[in-house]
Amino acid sequence: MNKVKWLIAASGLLLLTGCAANNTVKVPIEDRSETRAREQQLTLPVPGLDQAEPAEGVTVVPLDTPVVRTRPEARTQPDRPQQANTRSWGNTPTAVAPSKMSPAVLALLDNADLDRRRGNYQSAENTLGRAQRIAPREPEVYYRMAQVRQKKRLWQQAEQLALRGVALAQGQGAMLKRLWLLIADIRLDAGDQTGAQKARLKANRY
Amino acid sequence: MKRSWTRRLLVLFFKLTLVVAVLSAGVLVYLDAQIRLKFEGKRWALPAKVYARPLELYPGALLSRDQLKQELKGLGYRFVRRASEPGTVEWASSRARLYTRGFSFPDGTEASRRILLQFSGNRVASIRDDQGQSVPILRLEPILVGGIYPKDNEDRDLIRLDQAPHYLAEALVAVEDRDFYQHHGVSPRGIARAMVVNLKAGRFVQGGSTLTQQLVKNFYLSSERTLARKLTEIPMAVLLDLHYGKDEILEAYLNEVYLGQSGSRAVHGFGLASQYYFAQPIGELKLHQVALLAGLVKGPSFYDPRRHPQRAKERRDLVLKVLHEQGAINNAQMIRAMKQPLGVVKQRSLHKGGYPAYLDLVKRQLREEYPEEALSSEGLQVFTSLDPVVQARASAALQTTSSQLEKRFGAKLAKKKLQSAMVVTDPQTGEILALVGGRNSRYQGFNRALDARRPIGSLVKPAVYLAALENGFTLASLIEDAPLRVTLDDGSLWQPRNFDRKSHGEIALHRALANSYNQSTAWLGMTVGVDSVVDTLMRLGLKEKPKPYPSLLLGAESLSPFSVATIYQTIAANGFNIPMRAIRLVTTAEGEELSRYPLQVTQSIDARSVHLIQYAMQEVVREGTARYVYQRLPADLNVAGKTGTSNDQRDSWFAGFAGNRMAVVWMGLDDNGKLPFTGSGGALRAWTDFMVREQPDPFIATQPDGIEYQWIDEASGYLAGPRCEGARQIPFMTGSEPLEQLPCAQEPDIGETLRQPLDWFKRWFRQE
Repeated sequence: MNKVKWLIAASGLLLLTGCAANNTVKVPIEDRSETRAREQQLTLPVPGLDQAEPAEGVTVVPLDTPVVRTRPEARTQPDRPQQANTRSWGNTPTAVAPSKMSPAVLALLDNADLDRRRGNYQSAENTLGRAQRIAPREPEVYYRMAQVRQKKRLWQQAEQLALRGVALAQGQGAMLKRLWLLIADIRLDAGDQTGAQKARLKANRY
Repeated sequence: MKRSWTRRLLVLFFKLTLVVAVLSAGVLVYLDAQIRLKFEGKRWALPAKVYARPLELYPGALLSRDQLKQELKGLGYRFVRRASEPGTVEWASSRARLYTRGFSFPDGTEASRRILLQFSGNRVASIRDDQGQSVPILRLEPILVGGIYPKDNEDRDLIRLDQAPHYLAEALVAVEDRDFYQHHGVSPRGIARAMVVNLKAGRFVQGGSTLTQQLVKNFYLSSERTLARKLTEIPMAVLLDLHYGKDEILEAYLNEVYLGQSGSRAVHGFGLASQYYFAQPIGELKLHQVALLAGLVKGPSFYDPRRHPQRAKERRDLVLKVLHEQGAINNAQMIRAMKQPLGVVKQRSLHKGGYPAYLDLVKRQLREEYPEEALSSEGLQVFTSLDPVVQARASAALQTTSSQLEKRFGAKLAKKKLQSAMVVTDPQTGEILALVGGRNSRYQGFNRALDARRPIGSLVKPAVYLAALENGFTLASLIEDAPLRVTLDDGSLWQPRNFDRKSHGEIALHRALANSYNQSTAWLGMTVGVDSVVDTLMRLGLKEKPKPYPSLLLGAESLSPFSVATIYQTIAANGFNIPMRAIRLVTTAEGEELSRYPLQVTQSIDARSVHLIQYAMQEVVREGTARYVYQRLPADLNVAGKTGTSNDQRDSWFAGFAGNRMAVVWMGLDDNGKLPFTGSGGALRAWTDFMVREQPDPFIATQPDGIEYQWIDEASGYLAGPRCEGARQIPFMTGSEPLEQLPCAQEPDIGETLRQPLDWFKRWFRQE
C-alpha cells in the first residue's frame, strides 16, 4: 500500500517539477544616460549671447560732470584686483594643477583608466564619479569622464562634460588645449566636421 | 447469505480503502509539489535595500574623529581596546585603528582590512595599512537606511548557514529540537517528551514540534491552530526531510523564523534580527548574543529584550546552560557569557526609519522605473547619495531655528506649529545629500520638501534678472523703481509695492536685486517680457512651465522646495544644468547593475550671464537683504543666495549656495496662515545655522572668457576709476561696458586716496 502511494507520489512529482517555474521578475539592464542626453539636446538650447548693445528701456541719466568718451588703455591693468594677469581667479589655478592632485584622486583616476582600457565603462564611470565628488573642480576628472562617455558613444554628454572641464580650467593652457582637442575628437566621432574644426582652432590658441 | 454479506462488507471496505489511498496519494502529491515549488523557487520576498553613500576615507578628507565615530556607530562597529576583528575600532587621541568589514560594491570589492587613521584637526592626515604602507583611499560599508517592504511587511536579511556565528545552530537545536539531526521530520520522542511535560504540568506548555515542523508551519501554512493544519504539517515535515538535507532545512529555518516586531515591520530571520537587536552583522555576534537570539525563538514578544530585559536575560542564561549541558561550551565560557549585559542597541539609534523624506523621494523615483513587485521582493540594492551627517545637520538646523522662532513669536504664532522643509545638494555633482520634509524629521507624513507647493516670492528674482542680463542689460544698468500699473488680461490692475512701501527711483540693477525691490523688478520683467523670464526659468531646470502672468515676476508661482532647488542648482553650477540625483545605482541582490544615474551636464545658461548673477547674489548676502549670514558665518566663507517672502508673509524662503553645498529652506504654516517674520527673519536663519554646522567650502567664482571688471560710478552707471567717490568694480560682458566715463576715471591712481575694492569683493577673487 505504502509503496503504491509512493509510486503515485513520485510520478506526480515528476510531472509537477516540469511545471514548477521560477517566477522571478527579471528587470532589464539599461543605461539611462543616452535617453536623458537626447531629451536634453532637444529641450535645452544654449542661447546665443551677442548683445553688446543695451536693450531698449535702459535710461542713462546725464551727469553734471563732463563725460570723456575715450577709454584709456592703461585702465584695465592697475584696476584688476589681482596682480597676475591671468584669467582665472583665486587659488584655483595652482590648486588644481595636475601635479597637485591628491593621491586619492590620482588613485581613482588610475583605476578608472584601467577599467576604461579594459572596456569596463560602467566601473570606470563609477570610479570617476567618486573622483568628481572629492575634486569637483578638477578639470582632469571631467576630461576622463568625457573620454568614457565618448567610448560609450554618448557624444552629446561627452562634449558637455568636456565643456564643463573647460569652464573649470580657465587659466590652465595645457589643460584647455587637451580639452579642446578631445572635443574636436568627439565632434569628429559624432560626424560634426565643422564643429571639430572649430574646436581644433580653439585648441591651437593655447 | 451471511457469507455474501461479509464479503460485500469486505469489498466495500477494500473499495473505501482504495479511494482513501488514492485520495491521500493525491493530497500527498499536491503537498509534495507545494514543498518543492516553494523550497526551490524564490523562497522569500526580499525587500529592496536602500543604502546611504559610503564614507570615503582618504588623506586630506574633511572628517573629524567625532564624525567618524558617528558613522561607525551607525554601522554598528564595536569600540574596543584592540581592533582585532572586522567591525571593531580602537581610538587614541589623534588616531583610530579600524578593522573594516569590507563590502562588495558594484564596481569592485572593498576588502576587509585593518588601517590606522591619523587625524589632524578636522581632517584625515594619513592612512596606513598593517604593513605601514600609505593607503590613498578606501570606502567604508554604506549604512543601510531603509527598505521597500512587501505588503505583509516582512523584512529579512538572508544569510547562508556558513555565515552563521559559532553556536547558533547548536543553540537552536539544543533548545528547540534536540533530535533534529536524528529524526525524519517529526520526532515521536519529542512528542512523547512534550506529552509527559504537559501531563505533569496539567496544561499545554510544550509543543514537541521539530524545527522542520516549525519551518513547515511558518513557511507553508497559515498560523491558525487547527487539527487540519496539524494533520498536514506532519506529512509535509516528513516530505521536507525526505527531499532536503538537514543543513538546507536549518538554513531555511534561520531565515524564516520570526524574531521581533519593529512598528509595522516584522523582523524575520537571524540576519536581520542581528541588525535589529545589536546593529551588527550576524557573523560578528558573540556567544551571549547568539544565546539571546536563539532564546527569542520561543516568544519574541514575551522575551523582548528591550521591553522585558529580565525575562530575556533569564531565557538567555537558560540557553547558555543547555549549551553547557550538551557539551557545546565549557563551564568558563558559560560563566563569562552569563556575566555579559544583554548588549541590545536602542531602537531609535538605528538608521533605518530615520530618513522618511529622503526614502520617499527614492521610492518615487524607483516606482517610475520598476514594478512594485520587483522592488519589494527581488532584494534589489539601491545606492543613494544620502549623507547621514549632512542630513543630521539639516534637521538640527531646522529644529533649532524653529524653536527659537516659536519662543520669540510665541504669541503671534498662536500655538500653530511652525513647519519647515529643506533640500541640500552638492551643486557640483547634482547629488541630493539631505532632504527634510517637516518638523518631525523621523515622522513619515506629508513630505513638504516634495509636495508643499508654495508661492516662492522673491526667490524668482534671480531668474528675472538673469533674463534681463541675457537681453542686453548690465549689472550697472539703471532701472526704474517707481509705482507701476499693469492691466492684466482679465481687466484687473496689477500694482506691485515694495516691502518698505517706498519707491527708490533710478537704481543700479545689481542694487535692486540685492535689496529685493519689487517695483524695479516688475518694471525690468515687463521690459524684458514675461515669456523671456519663463524661458530662463525653464533653462534653469524648472520642469513644469509656469503661466506667463506678470505676477510671476514677483514669485506668485507656487513651487516645492525641491523644484526651487533645481533652479538654484543650475545657478550654483555656473549655468550647467545638472539634474538632481538621489540614486546612484540600482543592482540586483547579487550586485549586477540594473540602472545607473551618472552625472549629466548641459550648459543651459551662458557662463557669463551666470557669472553676473552670481556677483549680484553675493551682494545680497554681503550688503543686501541677507546680511544676517555674516553675523554668524566667517567673512572668508563666500556664499551667495536670495531671500524670499510670499505675499502677506505666508512663506519664508531662502535659497543659496557655498562652494560645495546648495540648500533651499522653506518655513511656513500648514494652514497657510501669516507668519510674524519674513524670509530673512526665518528661513535665512535656519539656512545660516545649517552652514555654520556644515562648514562648507567657500564659493569661488571662476572668471569666464568674455567677462571684464570695470570701475563703475553707482549713481550714474558711468565708467569710473579707483579714485572716484562711490565707485565699485562690477563685472561686464566684454563690449557691454558703459561708454560714458567720469573724469576722475582718468586720474592716475597714485597717492593715498586710492579707493580699496570692497572687502568681500577681494575675497571673491582669491582666498587669503
